[in-house]
Amino acid sequence: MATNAETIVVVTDANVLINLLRIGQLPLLGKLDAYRFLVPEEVVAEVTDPDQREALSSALAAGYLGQAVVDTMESLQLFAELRDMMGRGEAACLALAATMGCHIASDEKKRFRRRAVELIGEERILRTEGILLEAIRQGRISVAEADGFKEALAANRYSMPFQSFSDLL
Amino acid sequence: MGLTREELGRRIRSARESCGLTQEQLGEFAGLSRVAVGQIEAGTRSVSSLELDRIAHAVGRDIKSFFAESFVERDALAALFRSDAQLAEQGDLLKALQDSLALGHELTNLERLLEIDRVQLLTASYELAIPKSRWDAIQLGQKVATEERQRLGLGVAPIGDLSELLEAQGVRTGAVALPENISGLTLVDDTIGVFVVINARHAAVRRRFSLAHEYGHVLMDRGRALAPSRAENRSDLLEVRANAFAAEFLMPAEGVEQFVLAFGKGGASRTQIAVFDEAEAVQVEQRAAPGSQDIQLYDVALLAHHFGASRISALYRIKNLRLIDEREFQRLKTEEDSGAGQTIANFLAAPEAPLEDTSREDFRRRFLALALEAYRREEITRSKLAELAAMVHLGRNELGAALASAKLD
Repeated sequence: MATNAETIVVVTDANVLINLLRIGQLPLLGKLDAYRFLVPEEVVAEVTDPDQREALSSALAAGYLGQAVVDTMESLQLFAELRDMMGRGEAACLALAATMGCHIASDEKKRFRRRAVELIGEERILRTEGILLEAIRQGRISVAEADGFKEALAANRYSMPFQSFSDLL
Repeated sequence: MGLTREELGRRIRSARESCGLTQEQLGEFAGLSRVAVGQIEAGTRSVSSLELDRIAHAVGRDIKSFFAESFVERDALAALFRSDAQLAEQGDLLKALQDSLALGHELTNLERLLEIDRVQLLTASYELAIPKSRWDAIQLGQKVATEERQRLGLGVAPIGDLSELLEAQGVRTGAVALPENISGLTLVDDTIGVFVVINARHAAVRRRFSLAHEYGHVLMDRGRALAPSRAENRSDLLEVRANAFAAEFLMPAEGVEQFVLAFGKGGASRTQIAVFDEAEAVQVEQRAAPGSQDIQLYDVALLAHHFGASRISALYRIKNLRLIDEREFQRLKTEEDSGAGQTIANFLAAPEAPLEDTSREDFRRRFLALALEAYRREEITRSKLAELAAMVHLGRNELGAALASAKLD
């Protein structure tokens, strides 16, 4: 994978991918400058809706999403330890992020977030709204579009704790 | 110092060999070629988390066990393989065993996360020699069942929820779809403790008997390598002993006799008493009305219902207790075989199993309750909860609805 020192590598969990797939914005992950999004094979397996699977496969084939594998001894050991409390995809994301020193994109709260904060720190955790905000900042989408996505996700039981993206700018 | 790739490979090979799998068989489970498995075992190829997860499942281990400070070379599945050479050839059984062990590991993990101090194994251990004959096996099985009933303070009453009784003794119980010829099996290792698995495909009364049979193995054969209880092995002495245990444990002789006597049956047709007054005896004879002591099929139906057993096992039980003779046994069995027993049981509303048979769901319910509690206490994530629910065949939509109604969403 081609990255440079300024590139922020983000290991992406299924919930963020599914949110972006729901609003048809998965390609956004390939358009953000200075970001490189990776998806562990366990996360790919967790996307089960046929249309979403197809869109994810296309993104991986097009190369704007990279596939990641947990296979170093350090990451495998952490993966095994994390499996007690979290799902395969989450454990793979966190094991990779912690051992590679990169970011994680996950909307999971509670237990996952607590462990993620312990392992990589709060500043290295991105959420769906963080990605949309970065896309606004980079001029990829407008505030109005982002607010529309926010509304669409709220209808799918994912709510964001603010009125409008304009509040965050 | 962390584990090396070579050591991980060695541990994978050891786990594979101890449960009798070839590299090719392990490869099929893990989605790898035989060559790739060989390379992983030699430490010349890395293994991915996805592959290692599948390998752990295939060899019946928790993935963490590969990274433990001291690796346990032989575990529950290895013990079963040592005891039963047919195991590797019976693919459907192997799959059921793998699923059972995965459940056992997750159950252990949930209890640990919830700080549930799993009761130590409280059961007595009856040190018995291998029976010399089938007769010997039956006598020993019955004797242990009587002692165990006494130890548990059960008297001669029917046992209600058998799996609850075993759980209270520190024995984990579960129901998994096993091949038809396997009624149950007992898995024992340091991680999961003693885990009795019965065949979820069998009818309720049979599952109940199997649970009692396996409990007999736990009490009498714990130190031995236990093979699955197969229909074709029922003549083996240890199986005969466990069956005799189960029959006596579920339907204690004294309890059966009391039950039958309460109907005014089972007595002799002629009873003689001599009353002695220190000088002479006066003979008194009581004759029962002809046929009044004969046990009928409805008595058998009520007896089976009372003890939660099948009518046919109740029939054998009263024959063995000499409450009926061979001729009566044959008459009743013919009636039972003709379907009359079922008709009578329906008429009396006395089914073999309790009216509301929930034993198949007991394990699932217990497992899901622990998982929900772990989720509520934020010990596991939603995704882990969904994985655990899927292991007991609960879909994401059903789980979502359950979480919403429990206000845990």
